[in-house]
Amino acid sequence: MTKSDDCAAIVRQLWPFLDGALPDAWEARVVTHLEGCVNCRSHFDFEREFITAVRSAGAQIGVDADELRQRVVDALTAQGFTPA
Amino acid sequence: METRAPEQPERDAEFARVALPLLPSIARVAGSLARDPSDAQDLVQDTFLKAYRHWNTFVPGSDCRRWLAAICRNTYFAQQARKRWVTAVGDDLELETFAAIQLHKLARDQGVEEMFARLDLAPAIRRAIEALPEAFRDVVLLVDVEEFRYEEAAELLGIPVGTVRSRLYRARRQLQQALLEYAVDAGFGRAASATRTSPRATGAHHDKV
Repeated sequence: MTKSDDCAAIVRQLWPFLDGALPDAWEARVVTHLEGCVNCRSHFDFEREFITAVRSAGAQIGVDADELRQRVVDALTAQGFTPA
Repeated sequence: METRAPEQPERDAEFARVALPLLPSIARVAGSLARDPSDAQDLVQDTFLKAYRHWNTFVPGSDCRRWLAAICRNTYFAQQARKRWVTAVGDDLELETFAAIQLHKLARDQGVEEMFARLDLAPAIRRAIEALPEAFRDVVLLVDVEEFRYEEAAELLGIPVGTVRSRLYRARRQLQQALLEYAVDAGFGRAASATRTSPRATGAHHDKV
């Protein structure tokens, strides 16, 4: 396998790697490759920062929690729940 | 007539402390299952009512969010008994790899490679997520926002793990493209004029790949 073949294979696994979804053997392979490949390391940093930004921003998406929470608490109360 | 167990005050307090704070998270799960916002709210309510009724089966110290998500999912599929819309997504790993490399190269060439770390992209990210096709947005919300594992997201959505992975891949790539365009349009980087350049129309990033 050439280095470029290996780079392609590693790039393909960067997101599963960041998501903790790779088998151990593949994880080790990715780690070893990133230690020795500046290009893939740069790409890895790009993807990692992207996912971190999405996770942080996404947590504030689209839920009117206060209103919904009150509705759920009201429904629970009707079932005998006693709010604190 | 229903009698209250003697330990109910403690039980209710525990439910309020452990389960209720997870409502926003479960609302996002419900939103990924039920398309209609009103249906999603009903689903959240049903989920918490069931959770309350069966609170004695929750193992203290275990992952309550996953427990609630499973109730939410089971409730949804029991209620709906319908097939979700599934996008046929092929697995073309070579194309995916090529797109990944090209997009990174484009970001580097535009001078916005570090945009995710250096810019406050939160509003743009939220807009981009909301603009995704529903099937893609679902996996982003479950995997990236709620941090469910691929297998758990697949179980929740009733789709194969490979489909979760494929949709997540395409969703993230669309997000990156949108954010890159946003960053360049906003004046970050050094080549705003090339904002609309398709990553596929540019040269290779890993020059040897």
